[in-house]
Amino acid sequence: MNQFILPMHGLGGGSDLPIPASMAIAAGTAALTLSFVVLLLAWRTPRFAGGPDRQVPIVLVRIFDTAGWSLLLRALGLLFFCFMLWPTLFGPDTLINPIFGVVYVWLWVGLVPASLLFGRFYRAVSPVRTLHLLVSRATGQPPSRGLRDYPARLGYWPAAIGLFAFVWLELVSPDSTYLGPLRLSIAIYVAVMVVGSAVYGDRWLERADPFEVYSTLLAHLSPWGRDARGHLVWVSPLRHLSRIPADGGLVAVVAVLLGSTAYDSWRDTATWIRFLQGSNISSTVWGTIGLLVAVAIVGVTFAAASMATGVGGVDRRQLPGRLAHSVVPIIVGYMVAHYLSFFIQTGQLTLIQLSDPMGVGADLFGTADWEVNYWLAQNPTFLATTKVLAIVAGHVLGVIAAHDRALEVLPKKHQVTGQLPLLLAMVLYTFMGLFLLFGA
Amino acid sequence: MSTLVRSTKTFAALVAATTVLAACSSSEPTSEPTTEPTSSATPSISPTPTPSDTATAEEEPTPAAPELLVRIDGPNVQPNAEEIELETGEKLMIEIQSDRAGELHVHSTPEQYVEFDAGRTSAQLVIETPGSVEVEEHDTSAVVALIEAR
Repeated sequence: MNQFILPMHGLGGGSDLPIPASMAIAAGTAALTLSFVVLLLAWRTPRFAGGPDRQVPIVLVRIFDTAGWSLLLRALGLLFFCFMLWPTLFGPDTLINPIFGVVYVWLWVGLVPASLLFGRFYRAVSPVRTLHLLVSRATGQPPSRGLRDYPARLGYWPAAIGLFAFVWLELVSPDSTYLGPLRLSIAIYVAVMVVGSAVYGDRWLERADPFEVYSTLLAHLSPWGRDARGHLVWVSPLRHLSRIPADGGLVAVVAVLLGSTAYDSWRDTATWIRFLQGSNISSTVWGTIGLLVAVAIVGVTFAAASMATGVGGVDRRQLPGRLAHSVVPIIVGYMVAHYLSFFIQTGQLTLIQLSDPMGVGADLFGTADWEVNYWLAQNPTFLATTKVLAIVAGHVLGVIAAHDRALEVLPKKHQVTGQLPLLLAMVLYTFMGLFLLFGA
Repeated sequence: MSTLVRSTKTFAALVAATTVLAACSSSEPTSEPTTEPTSSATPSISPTPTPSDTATAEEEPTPAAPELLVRIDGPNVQPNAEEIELETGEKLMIEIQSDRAGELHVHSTPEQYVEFDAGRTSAQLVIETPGSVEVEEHDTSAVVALIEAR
């Protein structure tokens, strides 16, 4: 009987309680105050641009900066991918199939801590990058070389579209937890990445693979960097963050990431559920509209706020892209707040299911009879505090990153006042985030 | 995860579940309340189909005990996402008036299910883990209640 009951704790179960009002107000006040403290009291010359990197201890270099190490990671990544093909192709079309948890929890949410801790995590294990390397080796071409050059004007746009497609599948599509549609999505992803990288070289994966782009953006908050020659170096996370290339479409990428997480909160609210259930139009249509609106709100407010400043000789249209890296810490704060309990609890369930990928009572890794630890759900005050701290910390780091970049790009006399609109936009995001966690 | 997605997510699993649950509970509307003390996996709900006799003033100690009244009439399911506050461990009385058999899906941790037959069904629900819990009518995926269990 357990066999059948277990999976229904599914990719859901109870969701978090709303955070207490007092906590939301305290966090909002703290975010607002700290923003102005940064603006008025922080340094007046840019600190994160340039500057020397620090040597990684030679012991670590000998382990982690070797061909053997990266080969090992690639092999593990490919092995896991091939293992997951088994339940994906032949597994049961129910939630006991671990592929759902692997894609929606381990990959999508797990990518955040993995990239923050270890750097460019997805790039290192990506099965599509490994496939591209294998193809390149077979044809004797360097991996960077494709049939033609990647068009610079595309920038991050393909990744923004890919990320939107993913969050649409996860948050809007009525089919997200059916095996057929998920299988099809995986097939399309692999095909587009393999063909794209054959045409444009591995640059395609750096700009179009939604997971690699997301992971690499987050890796810019990790201390693991690469210098110009590609050597492993220590970088202070905020300096590392400022090195995110300001290619076109970066604003769209961060808008999709932040907007979709906000939408995921919003769609759980009583207001939205009642509205959907009272409407004659299908919830997929409303969901698509809701997701688009959430992403558009972030993108438009960010672009407008970063352009709304007194600029001397600076090209206004370049400002959103040059400042967009500052949204990344805010995304991280909100991801933690929104997905912490989901990641810990449903992530454990996925580990349990992985031992029995076909749902036949197997115990491949000895985890099949483990039980999910619901400590987080049972300690709602601890959970709420962690969420609020994550939001405020992300906000403050974002404000600092934007401040430093503003010193770099804005003319002297507008360096403080010119930051105000963007600062207010960030305060708006944080207030909205807290409001959604408070239960809207 | 929201109702809509979650409902589809669990749909397939539910099919298996319903089969199992149907096998557990006696399908004919006997006068005996169908409780399953043996199966530990069955959640802490005892759906007690009480055909016609509504005057069962059972052990309902507090007069203002929280209550959820569900009306199902074909595709119409009421209420529309009623918000209910509950203590963990507190009993929620559920009264279902339906023109068909079906199942309420309670997205608590762990998940729980309330089966009902055509006619009137009374059931009790206890949420053990704090959280926001959606109660969903399975066939229509309609959310009838949002419980905040503290």
